[in-house]
Amino acid sequence: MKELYNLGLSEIDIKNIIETYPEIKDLTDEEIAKNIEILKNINCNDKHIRNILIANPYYLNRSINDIKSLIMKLKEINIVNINLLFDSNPFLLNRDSYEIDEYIKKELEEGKKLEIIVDELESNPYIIDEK
Amino acid sequence: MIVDELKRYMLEYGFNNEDINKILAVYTFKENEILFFNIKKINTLLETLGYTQNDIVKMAKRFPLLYSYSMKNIKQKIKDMQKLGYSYNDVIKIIKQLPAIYGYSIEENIKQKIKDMLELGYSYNDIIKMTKQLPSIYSYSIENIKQKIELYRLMNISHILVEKATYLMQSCELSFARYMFYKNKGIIIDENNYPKLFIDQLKFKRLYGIDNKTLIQMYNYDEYFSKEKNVLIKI
Repeated sequence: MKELYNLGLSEIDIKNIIETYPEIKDLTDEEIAKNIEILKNINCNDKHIRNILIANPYYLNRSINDIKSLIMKLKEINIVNINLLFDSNPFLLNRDSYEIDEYIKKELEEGKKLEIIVDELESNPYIIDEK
Repeated sequence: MIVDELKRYMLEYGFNNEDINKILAVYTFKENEILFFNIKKINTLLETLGYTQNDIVKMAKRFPLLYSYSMKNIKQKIKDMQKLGYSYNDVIKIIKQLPAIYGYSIEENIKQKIKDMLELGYSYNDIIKMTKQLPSIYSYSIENIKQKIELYRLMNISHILVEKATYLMQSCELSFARYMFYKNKGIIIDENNYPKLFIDQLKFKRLYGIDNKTLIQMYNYDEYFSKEKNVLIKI
């Protein structure tokens, strides 16, 4: 939990995080630090990371490989500000790269161009949840 | 084997193999028989509450922890949300968009957010209206909500958020950068032209020849943001 305090999360925030996802207490500081590091590597600042963890503490239990694949997929489709995307919809971090592929495939089949699909996702990071 | 039976059930329900592996990975600590029972029980409950199978599959994919909650918790959360002023159908719709609400404490989290937004000047009815439009407000940290509302207050457009709460999805960084961009062009954003802040990137680039990334780098929100006062100092 030391890593959470280092991010500037308050006692109340941490209490809410534990309430939302009790299993977080079983994670080691090292495990938490690794998942936080991935976010820092995509230019999430402490504020973004706080926002993400308060909304979606389950992110800390996600497999690092799955998260890296997700980020690679988003870069592949030319999403530039991935940090802001996750800040706007922290639950996107629960998605796997295959889900992004599925979403894009479905939209392409409906006749949309990739550029438009990506633009819609950046404008409304919840759109993948709505479809 | 119970795992095969569970997978078969989930495939028939509408999940694909990758979804199933992803969801089951969340619950590796649980006995497969108990897990199977929980998943079936919760799916059945959610259907009786008004969700379609397609809704439930989407909710579980968005929020794999869905199956960790008890039936009592799920039913109680709906009742508690109704006590806040939402209709039953409102609650069903809100949770469909934000299934993580099952994990948020009503007292410490949701009511506290409402209280914080009241302190920001919105009425109770405003808040109910805003959260119906954008349930994810309940997932935002209050720090995040305050920063966004304060930014739009400095622009004198915070009142439009009651009718257009979905604008709260846009990051402070982008809204600020666009505001400053327009200001430098002699366009001051106000309640008549505020949609300019929120046009999609492709359209913005077509009109002005600049993408979001470059714009955000040109007008750095953090440089203007005063941590001490929690306000923008040079807008």
